[in-house]
Amino acid sequence: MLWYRFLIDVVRTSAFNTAVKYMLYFMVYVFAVIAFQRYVYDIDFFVPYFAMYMMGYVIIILFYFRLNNSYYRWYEGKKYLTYLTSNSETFLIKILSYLLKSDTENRIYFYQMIDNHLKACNNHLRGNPNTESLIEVYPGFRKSIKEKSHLPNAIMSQIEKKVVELYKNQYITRVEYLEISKHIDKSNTYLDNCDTIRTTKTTKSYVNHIRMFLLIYSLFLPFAFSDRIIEFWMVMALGIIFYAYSGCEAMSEEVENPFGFDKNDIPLESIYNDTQLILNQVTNTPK
Amino acid sequence: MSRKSVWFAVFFDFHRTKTLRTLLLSMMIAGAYAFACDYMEEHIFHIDFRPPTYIYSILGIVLGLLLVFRTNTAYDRWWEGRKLLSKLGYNWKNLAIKINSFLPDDDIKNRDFFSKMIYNHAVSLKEHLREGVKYEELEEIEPGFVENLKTKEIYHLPTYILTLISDRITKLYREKTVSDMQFLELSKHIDDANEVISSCERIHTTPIPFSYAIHLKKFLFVFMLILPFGFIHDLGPWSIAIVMLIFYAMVGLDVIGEEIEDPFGQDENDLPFDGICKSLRKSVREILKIA
Repeated sequence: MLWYRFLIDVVRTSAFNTAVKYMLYFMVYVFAVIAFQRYVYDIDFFVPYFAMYMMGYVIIILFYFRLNNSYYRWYEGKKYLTYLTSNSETFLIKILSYLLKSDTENRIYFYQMIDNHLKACNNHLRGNPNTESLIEVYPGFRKSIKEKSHLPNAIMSQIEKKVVELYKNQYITRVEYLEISKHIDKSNTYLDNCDTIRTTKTTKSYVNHIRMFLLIYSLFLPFAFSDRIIEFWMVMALGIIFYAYSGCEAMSEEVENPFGFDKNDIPLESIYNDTQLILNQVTNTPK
Repeated sequence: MSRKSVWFAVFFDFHRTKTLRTLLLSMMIAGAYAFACDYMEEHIFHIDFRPPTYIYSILGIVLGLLLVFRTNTAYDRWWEGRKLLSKLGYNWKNLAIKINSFLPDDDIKNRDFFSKMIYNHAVSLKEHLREGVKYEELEEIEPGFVENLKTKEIYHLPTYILTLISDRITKLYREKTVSDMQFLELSKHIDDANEVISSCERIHTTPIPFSYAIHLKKFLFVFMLILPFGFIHDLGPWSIAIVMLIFYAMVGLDVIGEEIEDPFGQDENDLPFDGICKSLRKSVREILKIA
């Protein structure tokens, strides 16, 4: 097992491209500074090394904060999404246990409605609400929710209505109704938690401060190596240092919002497909 | 005093360290690269490329950050996995304790059903997270039960078993063997069991974001490329040993992170899922008074 085999994957991330672009800008800057010092005018200005170390430590601690924050946003998004799908599965398992085997109409109704709800959640989290992809559970279903601004809630309230109807007609008992209600509550809670992550941006002042700090640091960077600054290979060496720092920034930014279409984002499609297979299996489990 | 309690005893165990074995070839390559740099500099090119030491220090700060981040998140998953497994255990044991008091002592059939199904659920989850369910590990509820499962080609066996458990609980309730309050209590455990399945799967299928993992690796790689030039002028061929040592220390952390990120395998570092299943079986049978 060779550790180096990751090298083939290197160019696949978009963080790679952003960070490399900025690195090239930075290298042009360093090159200009060196050329100026060498051929035009030696400004004889230098920043002591320990100042660079010191600032480097501070920047890195700030980045630890930033990396951690955006990672945990991502992880939490994934977590709540898992709770959401797991809750839908349990919901279906329970309601199908409660309904009679012969009650095909209601069994299929719940299977399709829960499927629709998950699909609507996916679309909602991606900021692309639409009714076309939903199953037409009963004639006029899509039309009945078309005007609603929040499709998952609209679908859930129809499910709730159906559950109450089943309870009133004594298809399910009092405590079974309680159990089912719990899942409806949970489902809304989890979706809202995902939504919070989607709609809340990270605190702008922190992010800007870190960026500004990094910018100033890198502007001073060529002058820290004043004894070497006339050598052109310093362009390369400083480029690598800059890349290390700006790569942290680029990837924090990339992972911050987990509900998109990026390679690093949560694969909503495949999670939905897996859950759909499980829902399907639950529906077909003989009683 | 046991041998393990002497901390340097780890030296005598080095042939068993998995990280070292995984990395040995890669370390050799890094050493060979250092040798090549040294040789070329001394006998062929004489470029005299001497990056100042503080370049390594500044890069070292970033490497430290990325490595601690990697280790932290990987360990976090490992620990979360452990907590989920204990949740699996206590959730089912609690269910068994309740079932035991709700059912009459002579209801062998249902007691047997729950004790076996709980074990089947844990075991099928374990293998589901590895290479797919091993049917021979499951316990027969009734003759032909496992055979029957095999022929059905079930997509997700843990959920299937959970469905059967839920059906049985509902049946007990509808037959008035358990009261409505007792039914509510039992239902609670179904939720938790399914949450454990989904969460374990989440840990198993989600590695840390690709860009994080790759940035660290890329960066370690570049660091290793320029590393020999820091030593070859002063140390000559001895720099090979230093480069290999630094490679082991730094890349080793990355490799460990990768390894413990998914804790459900059968490695030395993975969670003792087999043992947990066995002890769960034992205690559930004990609670339900099944000989």
